Amino acid sequence: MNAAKPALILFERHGRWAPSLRRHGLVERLPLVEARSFAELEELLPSYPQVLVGLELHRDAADRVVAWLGRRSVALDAKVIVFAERGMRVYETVCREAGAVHFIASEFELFSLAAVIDRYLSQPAFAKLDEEKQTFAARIQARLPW
Amino acid sequence: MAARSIASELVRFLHGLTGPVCLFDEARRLVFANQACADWTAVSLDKLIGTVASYTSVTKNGEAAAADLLCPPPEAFAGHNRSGLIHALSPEGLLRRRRADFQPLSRGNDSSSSAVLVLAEAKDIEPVEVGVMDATHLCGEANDDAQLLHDRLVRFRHEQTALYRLESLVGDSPAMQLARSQARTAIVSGASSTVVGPSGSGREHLARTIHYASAAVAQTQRPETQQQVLLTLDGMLLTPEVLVSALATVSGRGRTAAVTLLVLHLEAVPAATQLELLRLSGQRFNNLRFLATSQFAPEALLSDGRLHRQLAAAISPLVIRLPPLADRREDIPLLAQLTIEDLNAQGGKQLRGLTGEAIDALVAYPWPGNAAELRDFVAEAFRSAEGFEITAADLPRRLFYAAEAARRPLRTDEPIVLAEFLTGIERELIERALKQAKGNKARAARLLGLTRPRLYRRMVQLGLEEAASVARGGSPRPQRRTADGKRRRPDVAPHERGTVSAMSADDLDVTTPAIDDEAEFLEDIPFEEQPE
Repeated sequence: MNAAKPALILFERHGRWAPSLRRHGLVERLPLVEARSFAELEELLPSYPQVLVGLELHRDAADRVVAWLGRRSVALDAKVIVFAERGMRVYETVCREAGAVHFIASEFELFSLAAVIDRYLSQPAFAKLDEEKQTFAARIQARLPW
Repeated sequence: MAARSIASELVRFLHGLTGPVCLFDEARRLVFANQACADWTAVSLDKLIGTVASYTSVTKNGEAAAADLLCPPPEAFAGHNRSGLIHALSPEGLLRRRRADFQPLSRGNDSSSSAVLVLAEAKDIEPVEVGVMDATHLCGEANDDAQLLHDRLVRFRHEQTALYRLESLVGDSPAMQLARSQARTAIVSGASSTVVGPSGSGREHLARTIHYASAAVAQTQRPETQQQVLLTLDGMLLTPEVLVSALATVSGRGRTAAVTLLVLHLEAVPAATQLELLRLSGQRFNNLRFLATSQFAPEALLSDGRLHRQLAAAISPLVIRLPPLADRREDIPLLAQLTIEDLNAQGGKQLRGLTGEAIDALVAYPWPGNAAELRDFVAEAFRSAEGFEITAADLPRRLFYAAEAARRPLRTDEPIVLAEFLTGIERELIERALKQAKGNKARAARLLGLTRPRLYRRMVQLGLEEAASVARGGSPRPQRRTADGKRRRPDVAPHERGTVSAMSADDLDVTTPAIDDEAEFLEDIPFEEQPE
């Protein structure tokens, strides 16, 4: 089992969302890993436990995306954000039911991701990762109050 | 006589067709189905006919489910010609699908409601496997979003119901028996519940199982009830914006919609978001059920101040505890076998189970990642197994490394000098308390659970403060004296009167409640009492 390390794996076919995320400064503190197929995504996931996954939802592969999301909670510990193309808002209910953390259907909604990424980076798993690198004395110091 | 003969001829003709044909009346009651329909749905005609169907993706059991899966869309009952898909569950549990035409048949003058004739093709759509087809092939009208979504929901809910079964909550340990019985109570009662357990113990799985099973029970008992909508909120990444946008997706259905809010990682939901969640959900829904998962019990979160009292009341009617896997080792062989059989069900490689040595190795492992880790290990072994069983050699190597590491002591010892280490910690705590108290020694002493003089003394000993007179840059304050001119011993509680006042401050141990600095005590005496 690999140690948890923060990252955003973005699976999209047309490379539309990655530039938008960069333009909005959302991936400055978070390594962005791009995947172009489900096979590539599945291959990457074991190396990134507790990763944030961005899934592009487009008409041609909506079924696959929803089916993958449905199996997510059984097989994976990944948090999924769905990036939907225009006109796919009707899929929001089913994506959220399947466990998507957030559903973005327009570039104007990207602003809401900043707070989500902040919360993601402050997860105890990543704090624990830093802690494991410290000496015993430093770990005691880190646990002192105030 | 002739009419009866024509009718029986027509019925015989319809029964002879290879494609399923059925007729729903205006009240959505199935009034006719041919033999091909019965064969395709695997439900006998006498059970099928007379069933009232709903256009729903919520899963039911038996003939009610079969009729729902054949049900035409509402606009067909309103008199519009439509084409789309009908579904049937195969005996193997697969969801079969066929293209069908929905032909409205109006009677009398009332054109607002029609009976609907369903004429389906003779062959299933290929391929049937979930997730590999193009969405545009799903129905005749590719641009019909509502039809696409309905079809998607039908299949999604069937997959989910198959995935989240109470039977998958296996285990003979008393804790698991209790958890199963509590889950059954939650399913039948529809009560809000919290699933508590360590990471990887299957909390989300159980919460979803409760939801899908409850939805099926509600539909079977009260077919007129609305679909239960499940909305998942992940406490780890929940922000006010995410909460508002998530609730907006279901609030469009109105206040009376039956909504289940599944709050994952309850312990991680920030206090402000908890309040917002309570406020918005109370405003928008009348028929709301909370399901939550948490690492800690709601009462523990409540006493830590990490859970709002009102939210605790909303989610806590039933608390289901899932024990760590290490506490129920007797369940490990059963869980491993279940994983193998789930993998067999995917249709590829088929294995019988695990050898005795493999089971022994699994039982000996500490399982910090609980059931999820066990599933990962068995799945990995399943892939590498070459025979009909998983042997110990097929299990991931790290399972054995962990067992070996547990037997050996740590190779590198990190030496510490206890006195120095503790002094460092004490100094750090005093500095932090002073910072917290903005330099106010009395407040800092209270934070540390010390008397003010004792704090001052330790500060001097640790080099954090010079003696009072030096620090003020002047002469010491006048000593308080008794009427006979002798130095008066300050009023000190008997337990604080040390017997080592003659010792120097440096000789004092931090744990000795001795008082040796009278000047400090004089500081504590109110000004008007001090001698002129």
